[in-house]
Amino acid sequence: MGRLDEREAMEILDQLRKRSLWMLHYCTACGAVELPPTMTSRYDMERFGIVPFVTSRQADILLVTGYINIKTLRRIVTVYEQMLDPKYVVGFGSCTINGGIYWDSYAVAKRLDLYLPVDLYIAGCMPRPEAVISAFRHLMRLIDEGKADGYRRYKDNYDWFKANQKKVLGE
Amino acid sequence: MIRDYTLFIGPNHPGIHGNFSVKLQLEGDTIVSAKGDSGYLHRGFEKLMEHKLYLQNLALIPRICVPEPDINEAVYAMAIEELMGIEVPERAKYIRTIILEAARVNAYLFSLGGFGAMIGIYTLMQWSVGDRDYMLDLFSKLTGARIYHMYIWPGGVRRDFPSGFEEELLGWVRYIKDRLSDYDNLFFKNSLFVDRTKGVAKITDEEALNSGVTGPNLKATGVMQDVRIDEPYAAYPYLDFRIPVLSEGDAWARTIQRRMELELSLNLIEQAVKKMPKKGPVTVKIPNPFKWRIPKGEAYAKVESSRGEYGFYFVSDGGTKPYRVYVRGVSMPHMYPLAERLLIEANLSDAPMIIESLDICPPEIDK
Amino acid sequence: MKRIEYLKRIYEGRLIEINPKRLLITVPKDEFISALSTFKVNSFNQLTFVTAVDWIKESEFEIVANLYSRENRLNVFVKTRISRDNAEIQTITSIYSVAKKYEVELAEMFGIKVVGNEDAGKPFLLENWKSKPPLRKEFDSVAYAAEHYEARHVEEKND
Repeated sequence: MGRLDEREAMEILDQLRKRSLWMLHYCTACGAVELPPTMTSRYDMERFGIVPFVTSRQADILLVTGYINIKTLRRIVTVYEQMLDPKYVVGFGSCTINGGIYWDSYAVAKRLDLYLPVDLYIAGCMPRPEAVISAFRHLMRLIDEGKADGYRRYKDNYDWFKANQKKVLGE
Repeated sequence: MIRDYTLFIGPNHPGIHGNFSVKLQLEGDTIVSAKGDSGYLHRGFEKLMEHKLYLQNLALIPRICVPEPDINEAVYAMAIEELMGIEVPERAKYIRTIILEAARVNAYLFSLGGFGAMIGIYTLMQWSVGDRDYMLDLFSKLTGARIYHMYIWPGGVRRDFPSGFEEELLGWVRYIKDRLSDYDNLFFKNSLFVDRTKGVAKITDEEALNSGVTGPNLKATGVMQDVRIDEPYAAYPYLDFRIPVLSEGDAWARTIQRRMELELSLNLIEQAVKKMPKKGPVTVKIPNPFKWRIPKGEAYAKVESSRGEYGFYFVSDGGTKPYRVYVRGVSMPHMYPLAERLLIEANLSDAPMIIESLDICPPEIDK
Repeated sequence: MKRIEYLKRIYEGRLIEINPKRLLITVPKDEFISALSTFKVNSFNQLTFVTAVDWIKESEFEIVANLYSRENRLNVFVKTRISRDNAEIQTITSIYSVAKKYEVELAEMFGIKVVGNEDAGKPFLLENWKSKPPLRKEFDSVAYAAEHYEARHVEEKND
């Protein structure tokens, strides 16, 4: 019985991690009205191991549901930095991709991936609960292949992300 | 030793439905003062609506109040119809009434589920959100989308009911009526709910009238004031109903008032389906969107939403885009004088329950 | 309806009826508070909202207060006009105490100074806002959004 090297250990841990992803229960914006149907008994995402959890210190997924208001963006960045590695960000809805229907509003930011490293987008306004579950299964496949490494990208390009945040938020 | 402490029930909190925060000053376990902090959902709707044509605004309007999107479309359509002086056909009036009452039942089921989570009875949310989902299936069969319908437009509704829709709708109404006794045994007669809410956060009727409170919060103090009776719109002049009121004014009475109005809405849907004319046009022809001008004037159109009186103040200067639209949100007077005052001298563990019993919806304050 | 007849008499034809459920009156700026007080005593004791409309071509703001009478079941719009430069009004919380937060919103969105309300002027919905008040007509929201928030570059194909 030899010892495991780091790559093999990460593979085993990824297999265990993807079956028990905990989502942070933060209802950011209007997409949050489709989260209770996904969590409750009709579309039941708990059978995949995904549970909404309240504190950011023990959550794995940050689901940014809907448009990104500037006042909320500051809090989302703080919450993301409070989460522990490995962590994943999923953008929910068309407003995280390119501003959506609020493209000309003075209080809504347009692209989420300038401020946080996004692993997956879900398109739609509103996406159906089946689309949310299918996106989570896709995320599990990405974790399996080792491609969901947003948290490493954030640490490597920290200055670039911080400069973008400072430009939009002021300080 | 009792210490003073500042705590915020912040945006990332399971006790707040929506995205806003309340900053509390505590002394031990008792709240000394509370200040609300809004603005996390602000999109600037009133400015966005001035840039778009009247037909383009129809896609933007449902997103103002998220749990119950049909009231936004109904007031927009009613304000434009008042300024243009057009009359909606009779079958369309009945269809609008049915859609608004079904949206009201959905909103009550959603908010009751959230309220159950505040008390600790999580089963209620599993049941009520599941039952609401069957109506969302019917909505997507009728309008094409689950949440944002864009179905009610100035002049009537977009299309007629498909065949067989009325039987399925009545089947859903019968199903919910049968389930109400289960809900009573689980939640409304449960001693956990009664003991935690009786006598908590009491309002008198004079205080409610002076604070601008409307809707079930006002009816639970004994005052009968409802837009469906005072200024009837859609098909309400032809329907026959009486709205019950309670008189205690505390959190228990407000929740029971919502449960009684849920039952009344189910009866209204059945009555409207029976009295509806079987055939007829459902819309007046709308003009070419690029040349659609509305005469100069102003109008205030209001409906009774599941929370209270919701309205749009609409000013037009004769052009192709609205000149000024003001959204009168229901929850603004409920939060800003009233909830901040009710939280004083309350226990910390009751704070989310008090805010939830007033049914505050943050997008209506932030717009 | 006796109160409505009384009000129509004392306002000598300035109180007009847009339709059976909506009345309208425009008063000069220094009569605004006393007009609201008269209406409150004569059955209009609920305030629905207070807001403003920006008439930029006439260089004036129009302040609109919407009052509701429970007894007679109708609404009245009480309006007044103030000038656009150095816009300021007196607070109406002495008559309707629920108007406090509506005035805070008015001050933030239009830049109107409200004398007597100590919360007006503090940020309410916007944070770190350094530009003009957003609901004024000269503020261009499309230009502001294009300048401050970067959009995704998508190549346009017409095939």
